[in-house]
Amino acid sequence: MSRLRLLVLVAGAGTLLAGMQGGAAARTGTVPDPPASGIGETRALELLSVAAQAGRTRTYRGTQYVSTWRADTASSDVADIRHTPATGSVVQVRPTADRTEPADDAQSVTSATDLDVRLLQLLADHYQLQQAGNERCTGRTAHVVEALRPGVDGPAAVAGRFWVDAASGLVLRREVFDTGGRLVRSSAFTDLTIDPAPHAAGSASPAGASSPVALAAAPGALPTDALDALRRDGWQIPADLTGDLQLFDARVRSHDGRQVLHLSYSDGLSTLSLFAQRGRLGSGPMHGFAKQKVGSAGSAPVWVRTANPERVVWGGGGQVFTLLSDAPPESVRAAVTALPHDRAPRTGLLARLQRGLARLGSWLNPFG
Amino acid sequence: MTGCPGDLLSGLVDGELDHASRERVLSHLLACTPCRAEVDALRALKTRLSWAGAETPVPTDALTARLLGLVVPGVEPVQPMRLATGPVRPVSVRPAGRSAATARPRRRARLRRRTVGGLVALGIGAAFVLGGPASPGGAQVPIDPTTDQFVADYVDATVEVPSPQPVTAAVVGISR
Repeated sequence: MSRLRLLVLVAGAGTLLAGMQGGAAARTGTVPDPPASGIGETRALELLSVAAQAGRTRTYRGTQYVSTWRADTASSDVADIRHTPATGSVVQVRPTADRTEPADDAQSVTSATDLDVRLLQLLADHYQLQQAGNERCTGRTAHVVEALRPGVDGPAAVAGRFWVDAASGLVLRREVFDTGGRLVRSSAFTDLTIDPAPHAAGSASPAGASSPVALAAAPGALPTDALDALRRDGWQIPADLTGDLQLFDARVRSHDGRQVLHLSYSDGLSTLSLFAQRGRLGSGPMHGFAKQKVGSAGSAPVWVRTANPERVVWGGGGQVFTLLSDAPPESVRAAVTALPHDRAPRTGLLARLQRGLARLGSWLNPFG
Repeated sequence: MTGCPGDLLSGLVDGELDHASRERVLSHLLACTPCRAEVDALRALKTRLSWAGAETPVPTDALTARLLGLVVPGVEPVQPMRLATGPVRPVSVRPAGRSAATARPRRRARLRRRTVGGLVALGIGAAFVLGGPASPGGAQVPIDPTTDQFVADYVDATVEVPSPQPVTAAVVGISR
């Protein structure tokens, strides 16, 4: 049975379960306690399906921290979040020791706790899910769901953990691990206040878990035929990066009057955005970025900023790529390597003479 | 008259006879009218030739070129030159020897080497100038990928809280 079909089954089971357990749970949005025999992948999928719907039906506010770890750096941020189903989330990042000024403007973003239904499908496709008991988190009872790497045993098997609030279904805490079992990203609410009444339009019950099966593209996303047309026009649009991160959203944006292709990839745990623009990268250094050697020998270096999210900028094939991701470093590096790279400009007298001869030849070539 | 000196008469006119021959020819001229007339004619001709430069008709350029271009065995051809009006200048005709025979291909080879060397030097110089500092992309338009709009778009597609630090860096921009 494929993961998608299993997801459909779970959604249906969730609907049935909600109906069987009466209207009380459905009206309050409370996640029912798992039956003794329900601990497993089916139950885990059901919990995450509820979590995917909670952001659309719940109004809450709280403080969340996000920490990331890299080989040589670690960063942590604290943000105040106010969320309503109608307007989404407003995130205000607090000042820290290395940044005394607060963020100039709050950004309207999707809920930090919302599990996008498309990401949930990718999560089910890439990982084996299981419920790993219950714990206390943010002063609330939470069901712990683990995403396991198929075919991997030991501590390295765990790729991610979710703490799903038993009462509301919101994700209270989330951890992501690299292939070595090291924690690379952690986010959690330090305090959280949830309005008791769910949003009426969402019919906040586990019955809402049936929605994930409707995997229609998000509004504004490019359809498949449009992507094919862009590919024929020379745009790099891989269906997946490194085999794990799959394309789940593509759209054309406009930045300062220039067309930008925005591709979103995910494996359900980590998200990677790839922005492609026609043009070339400036030859000068980029402030705040470090030059690193990635890709094959002879390719031009890339510019990296290891923050949350990590950002990598480089040029290749007549385009400039800007990659933003919260994925583990090895996944980001593999994704960057898999994309085109310009050759590093050669320096020295011989290289200069070769360029000049090539230019002379192009002028003298009557067929050129 | 028998016993005429014959060719010695021209030698007398040119002053090329030794003392004994000249005395003998002069003694003969006292008694031989025809020889005396011939000597007079030779002297008159010599005088005329010596002063006849201005009166000698100048050959045309085409005729000069044809004459100088004649291939005579053992004689090196002379490069044609434009003759100026005025006294005819004697043209040196040097018998072709062994060194002259080998000098011709050697000169051509040297000329060829110099020509090729000059062209190569010209090509290298042009390549050095044209090869100038490497400029990737040619006519492509430079863009700034550090704009904070990327972060907002990324946030739109993710479920995590973004750090504002990249935004701050993006505002600073990049130097080119």
